[in-house]
Amino acid sequence: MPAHFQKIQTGGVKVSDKLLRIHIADLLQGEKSADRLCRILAEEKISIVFLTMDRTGVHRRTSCCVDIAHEKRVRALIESEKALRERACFTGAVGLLSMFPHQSQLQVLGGSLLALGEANLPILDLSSSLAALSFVLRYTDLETALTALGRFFLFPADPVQLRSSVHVRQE
Amino acid sequence: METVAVYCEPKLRTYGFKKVTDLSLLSWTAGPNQTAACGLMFQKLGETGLRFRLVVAHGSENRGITIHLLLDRGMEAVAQGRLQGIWGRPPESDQAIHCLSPVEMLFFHGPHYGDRYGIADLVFGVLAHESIPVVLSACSASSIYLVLPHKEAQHAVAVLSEAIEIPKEIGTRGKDPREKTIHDCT
Repeated sequence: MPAHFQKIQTGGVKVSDKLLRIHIADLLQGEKSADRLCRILAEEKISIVFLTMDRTGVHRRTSCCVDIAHEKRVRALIESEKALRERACFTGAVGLLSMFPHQSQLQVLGGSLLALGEANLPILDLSSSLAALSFVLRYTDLETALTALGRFFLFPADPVQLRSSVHVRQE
Repeated sequence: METVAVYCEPKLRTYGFKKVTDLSLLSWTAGPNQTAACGLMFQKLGETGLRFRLVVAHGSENRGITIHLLLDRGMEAVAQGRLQGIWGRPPESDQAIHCLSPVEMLFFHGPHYGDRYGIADLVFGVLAHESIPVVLSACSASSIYLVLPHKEAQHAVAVLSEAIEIPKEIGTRGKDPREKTIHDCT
């Protein structure tokens, strides 16, 4: 870290509860297993907490996270369909670490990648949203990640509560 | 504490669609243990004052990472040149920076989208039914971002507006009051 380095002030960070990550790689020209997964989760009234989809080469890759409480049911649903079973892989438990605001600044993105990279923490997924940069990390890495980010970012003296005490569930 | 929310919406509601055109999508894959190098690269690029519209990344099993950075098209040449200079991978390399341009972005937010089921299914179902290809997407917190090919965003707004209710006073022109200046970065 250069001598003139100044930490970047942030509004705060939040971490999620334990999540199950489902990763699917579809062939661009083939059956869209990820669309089928979204349909199944909707039919089972399971919320997708986080989802990213990209295209690289001949593949469309989708990652989504759901509450780990649904793990058995989701695994059973995926196992019951050949196309999904062959293309899906699971990572659990993972957690979502959201840092805000990013204000579209590359320094914030760069600092966070630098912090997590130097701490040797694998980033499973990353996405920006309106205000936050959200990282999907192994759940066991979350505390280390917070410490690592603290080397590059200042968190407010009166931070937004780290872990949400209010959970919204739709019925 | 748990709060149980009951939504009685005949149609899903949004705070309004926002469409941004003339964008460029830069993508590349960094190898194992190169995440920090990508971070340094972004920091250097950020010194120019350049800002991003959207970033999405996927990690791989070998600890590599594929990064997609969406920028204003006017910044494409500067960004690509500087990134290429810093990153230094030749065009034929597996880790070369690829550019898709022009592309468009459509994004929208709604009440507790991240806590509710069926939203991704509805959005992707509508787009697939209309054969609108999605280049990149991210659904995080209450936001849904879709990167679409050139001239597809208006089509997507039209078909999604059939499935999702937009408050009349907001539409696609108004500004989400929560948005502040986050996307006024051009």
